[in-house]
Amino acid sequence: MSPPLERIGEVLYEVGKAYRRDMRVPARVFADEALMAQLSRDSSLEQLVNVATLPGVTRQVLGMPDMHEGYGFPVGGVAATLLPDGVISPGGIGFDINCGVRLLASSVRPEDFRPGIEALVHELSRSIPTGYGRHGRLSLSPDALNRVLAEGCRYVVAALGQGRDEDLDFIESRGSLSHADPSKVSARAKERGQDQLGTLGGGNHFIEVQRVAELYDEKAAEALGLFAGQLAVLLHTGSRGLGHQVCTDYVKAMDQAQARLGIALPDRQLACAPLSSPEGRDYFAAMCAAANFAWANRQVLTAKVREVWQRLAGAGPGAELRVVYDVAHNVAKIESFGGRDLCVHRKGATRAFGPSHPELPPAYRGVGQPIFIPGSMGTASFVLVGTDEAAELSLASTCHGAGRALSRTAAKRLVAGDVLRRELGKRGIVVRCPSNAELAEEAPAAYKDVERVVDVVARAGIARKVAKLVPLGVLKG
Amino acid sequence: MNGHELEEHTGEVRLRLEAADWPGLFTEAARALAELMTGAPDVKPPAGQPVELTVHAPDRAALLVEWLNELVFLSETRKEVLGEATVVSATANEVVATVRGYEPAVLKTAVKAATLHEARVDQRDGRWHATVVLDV
Repeated sequence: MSPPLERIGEVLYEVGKAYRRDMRVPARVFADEALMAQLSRDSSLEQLVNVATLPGVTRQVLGMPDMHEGYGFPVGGVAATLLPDGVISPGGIGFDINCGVRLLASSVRPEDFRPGIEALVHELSRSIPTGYGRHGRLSLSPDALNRVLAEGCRYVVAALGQGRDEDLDFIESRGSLSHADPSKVSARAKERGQDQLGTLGGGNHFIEVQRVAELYDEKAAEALGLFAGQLAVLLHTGSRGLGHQVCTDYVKAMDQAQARLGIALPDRQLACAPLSSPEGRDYFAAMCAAANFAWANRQVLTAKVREVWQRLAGAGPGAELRVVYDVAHNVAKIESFGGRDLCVHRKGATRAFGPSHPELPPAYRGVGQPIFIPGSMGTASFVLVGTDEAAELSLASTCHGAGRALSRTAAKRLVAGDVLRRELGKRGIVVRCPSNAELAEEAPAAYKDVERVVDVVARAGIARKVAKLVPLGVLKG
Repeated sequence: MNGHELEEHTGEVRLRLEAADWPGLFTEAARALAELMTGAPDVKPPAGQPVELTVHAPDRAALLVEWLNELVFLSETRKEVLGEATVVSATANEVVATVRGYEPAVLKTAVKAATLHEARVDQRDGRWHATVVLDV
């Protein structure tokens, strides 16, 4: 039975605390009727209710309009616990710690990029390792890996020459979380990550070449350096095997500590510990290190994309790719709301700071933090900015993508990979993906309607639409 | 006869395993993971060096999850799919086994980890059944 929902706003539903005795706070979901019908078909609402039982959870737990069933937390879930004793749950961040999205903007339109999109996607596919387990070009010494874990982007820019200092200004948390402690990352996690910096990974990770198709807010677009017709590159990847192993290690450790900590949960994958406990502190330090690794990964990939771009475009005007911003969508952060420090878990959700937030780069103050919402393969993606109202409405959080609607098997039943490849080709979208089956798994039909998802967050007031991007080329991980 | 199914889940993959005895679940789990990773139902004859494993956990469900996570770790670091497992001994809290595999031409599905979410092991009608959700 699906939990009872009360509509409490135009696009806001609530499951009250009375639904289950173990709920500590209500569960709220941002959705319209169509999205609510979709997400009621899987167990995501029940999973969100389970999150509402975490010790120390405060305000409300939140489901974004792209929410779908996950394991433990739903994907598209947000929960904050009150510090110092509220818990942190590795399952509330997920295995792909700091999976995130980075947008690079060029200064040219597609017609001015002489080598053409086909050549660009082809060269990207040759230069960037994709898929599971492929070696990257940067194999790190143990000391260098520890520096990446401790310092994130700052280290790969300064010591490894991967990008420029000014890139750091346009990355969430400047690509480096200060609580990181490499000694809390296991040898096994380091072994998995040792040769994976600068690799895209598999699943739904991608690099897309895109065109700015529509502007909704010209002033905000101008502040972000976006213009109609502009060529851009969107990157989506995370902390690779290193982050996966950090989560595996700490879910196991916390699961075994639950009885001692006096914590009883409806789902073992929600295993957690107070952030003030040794288990909680150790996980947070390791998670921050893995998040730094993910930002460093996107920075190294940025350097590779720039190298390909400049090789093709040559020197001079049009050769530059500027980092618009980089956002995490699987991470926990300590943030202040109403004068109180909270541990905000965002799993498949993006931070959405408003125009007045002091953490914004000076260029974006008065505009809002950029947020990137990738659609499914072949559909539009969106640039949004955060609102000040989101702090109260959604713990300064918004959606992270279209959100899966169908399982991978169901997607393959519905769509043939070779047909999809031809259709994308007919629409002028260049695709590089190793197999038709993998292509079908990520087909647009497998996802919710990203335009509807974005409309809901705009109507809810937790983000504002700035621009729509359409794909010209896709390199699938 | 032992068997497995890769069931639908919106974002991930739910693994259902069945075996005549408790050690058989570990053998079947290795086979199922290899099938998921390569997309091929038949496990190829192993060509890589055998690896000896000992895995511990507080209960049966956690032990199966741990076993799968050990295979995920070894697969990623050895660049092999480890579909053949010979179980030396298996209790409720420990499994000792040798696994072997091969380096596939293409890995179709990257498995991040096995989860404790809805992880279940039970014995019905004299057979062992298990469910594990994998993050892919």
